[in-house]
Amino acid sequence: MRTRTFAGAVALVAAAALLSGCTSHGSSSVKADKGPTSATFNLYQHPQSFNALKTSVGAEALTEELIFDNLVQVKPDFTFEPRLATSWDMSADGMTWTFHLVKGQKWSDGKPFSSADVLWTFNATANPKVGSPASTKLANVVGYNEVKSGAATTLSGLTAPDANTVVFKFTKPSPGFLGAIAQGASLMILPEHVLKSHDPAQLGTDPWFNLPTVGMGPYTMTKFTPDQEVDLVKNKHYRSSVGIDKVFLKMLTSDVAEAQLQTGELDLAQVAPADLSAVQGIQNVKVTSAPSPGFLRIVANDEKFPAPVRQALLTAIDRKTLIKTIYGGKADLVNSSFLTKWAIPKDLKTYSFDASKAKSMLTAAGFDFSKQYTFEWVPGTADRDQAITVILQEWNSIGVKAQAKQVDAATQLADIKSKAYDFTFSGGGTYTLDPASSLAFLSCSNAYPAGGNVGYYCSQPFDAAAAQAQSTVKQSDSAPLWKAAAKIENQDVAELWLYNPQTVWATSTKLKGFAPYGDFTNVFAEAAKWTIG
Amino acid sequence: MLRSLLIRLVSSVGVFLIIAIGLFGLVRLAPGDPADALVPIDAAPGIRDQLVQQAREQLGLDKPLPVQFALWFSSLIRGDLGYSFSTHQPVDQMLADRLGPTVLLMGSALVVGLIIAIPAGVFSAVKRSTAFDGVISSVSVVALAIPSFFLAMLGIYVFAVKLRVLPSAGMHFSGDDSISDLVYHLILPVCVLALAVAASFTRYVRSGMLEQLGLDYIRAIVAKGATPFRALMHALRNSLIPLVTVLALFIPAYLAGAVVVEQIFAWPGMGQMAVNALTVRDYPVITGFGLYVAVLVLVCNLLADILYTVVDPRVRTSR
Repeated sequence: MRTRTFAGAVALVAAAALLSGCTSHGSSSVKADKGPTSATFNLYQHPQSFNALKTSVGAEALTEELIFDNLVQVKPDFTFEPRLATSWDMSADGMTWTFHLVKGQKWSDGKPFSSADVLWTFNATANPKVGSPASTKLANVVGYNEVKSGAATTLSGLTAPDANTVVFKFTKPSPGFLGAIAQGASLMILPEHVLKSHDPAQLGTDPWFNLPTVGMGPYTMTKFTPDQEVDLVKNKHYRSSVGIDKVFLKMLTSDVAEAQLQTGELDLAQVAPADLSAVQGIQNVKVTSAPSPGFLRIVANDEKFPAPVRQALLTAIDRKTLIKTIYGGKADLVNSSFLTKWAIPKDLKTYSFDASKAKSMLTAAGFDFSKQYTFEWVPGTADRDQAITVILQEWNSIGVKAQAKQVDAATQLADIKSKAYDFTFSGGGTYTLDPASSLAFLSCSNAYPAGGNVGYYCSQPFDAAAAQAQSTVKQSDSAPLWKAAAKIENQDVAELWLYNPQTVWATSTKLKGFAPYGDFTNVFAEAAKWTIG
Repeated sequence: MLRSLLIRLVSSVGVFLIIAIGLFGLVRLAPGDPADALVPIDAAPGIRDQLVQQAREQLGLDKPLPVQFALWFSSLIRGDLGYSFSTHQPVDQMLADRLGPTVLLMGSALVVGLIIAIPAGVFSAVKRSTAFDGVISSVSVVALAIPSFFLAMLGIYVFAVKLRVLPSAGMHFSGDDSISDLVYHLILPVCVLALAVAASFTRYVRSGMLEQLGLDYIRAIVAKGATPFRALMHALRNSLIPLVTVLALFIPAYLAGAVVVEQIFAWPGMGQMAVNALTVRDYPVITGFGLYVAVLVLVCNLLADILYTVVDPRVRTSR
């Protein structure tokens, strides 16, 4: 019996070890490497695949920034930076954009890069069979409707006069095109020589993107272990020198990331405001922050809560105190969904906290105080979890009966779609320099599910002002129009804007050259310049 | 005995199919639309609904539910669990990739926990109402009362951050796939999980032993001149019979419930995969995970039946 028991135990451990050895590809923490230099960065989400035609957000977008490259990028100071395009020109009427590409560059597999790659990428993006969310950015390119209807497979308005030049022609003035294609991991240029033989209908789910080994970015992916790690080595064909030989991207909880910052296993992590004080005390770790283009707002179901009610509910929230207590002051109060400075008028209403005034406003608006309302939110983000408690207390104190309801993301979307919700949190923001990107969640035509307007805000005067601003070429001419639109939105309280939290980064003192990007989707844009040691 | 096992096996297949059908229905009853979750909310202004519809057609979710069920069930019978909605990888491949790390972590913790629990429970029973028994019982209660995630965080803080003798997370150091490195990374999570197993099973073994030690056959064995150790072994063997039942119920719940610890230790197992799949309503992965748990329950129950015949000859002879 004893022999059998012992043998059984040994067999179980051996079988498990064998099974694991056969199936796992894992590696996580980083040993001090005597040879090539290496650095480890934390990803705040778990990437699933790296299909640049499909994704433009989250950890996937961050990783894609390291392995791919786009024509233009946005710098930490929110100005444009040449990438695969060394320069660009817009015609005086805003109907033509010309991009001049880098010359003599190669993909990570040694094949030459040319305008054919750019054409293939943009045509694939426009192709409805691919189902790329970015296709909407090409809606004004000549030939888009033909591609969309299936009458053509390529955009007639997209041409390449030579191997180093790409020309876009538009059906109407498109001054915001540069901003639209420069966002984070948006419209990354993909290798035509690898993907041209792939079926466009399958590109959206193409397994090649589970381990894309050919790119123009500073690094090449060598291994991807879901939920654990992405291994990258420097791209020897990158257009400039790359400072760190190997990069490992890990997927850790914030607590473990904090622990690994302390042990020196981690070199870079985005820090939640709630963890700020803990991280600031860690030796050999530097904490930096930058204003973010993202903001947190409460979306009130506009079909249930008219503008006067929304104004009152916003007045009932002490946003300044929330910023002070939750973010340690590292957030900016906002009163508009527009974050592009030149598009925001200075005389916006501020909706300063005043509980008694808010109650009077609600009474005047005929608000039903007897009804029970729900505030749906997806728990797990410390600052939102704290904010919802305070906000509900503030609302309850003026007689608004609202209670929190925890949901998961899929349920939240289902309730938004059925318009069953009362209030919910929404994040995101304007990640480009173009104020038009705010229209994705404000204009009537973008009411969910057609777009991201989950509050169902719809104002014809606002849409008219925004449309006029969008088709105005010069910034000096469009700015007053955008300001007029922003004023309407501010008056209507399209959303209950809370604040614009700064993005906080913790880096090991070994990591040199890091500049805090407020736009966390762009943080790896300059990773080639970083060094370790 | 073989016949009865065959009957159990056939009935297990039937139960599995019933569970599979139930799972399909339950997963689809959950609120939320997988196609909706696949398209970023503000990524495609104006055409988002078209992309959602396109995704729905690609995933086959536009078909009537009975048709979806028929397609899914016919694939299941052929051993095909379908493709993940989010990663587009075969679900059986994903399950196979995650099974190893989960079995390794949880299996090791179970073995270590039992290695601690059995002697601790036996000695606690033998030394009943002594200081030793008191200490073992108290430690068990405390270990049971502390949630695994707290122990995990405490372990990381003490052994990885302060003492720096163990790694804080993961299965390997980057670039090192050796067995020794794997074992090094196993130590902390296994200890955390094993403590909970040991605490739970120590109490089972103790109470089982106390019951057996009070029976007449033990006195008879001692009266016939057997050594106390031999008497103890007889009692232990009989006390293991109820433990087999507990284990059969415990293992599936244990393996399915690895979510939190796997997440804390960045262990790429089944739990992580299931949580991600639930968040985006990845139906094939959710049902695949559910079927994995169902298989575990059925297999463990079957194994329990077989083990009964090993530890209890009465069962063997009665069949």
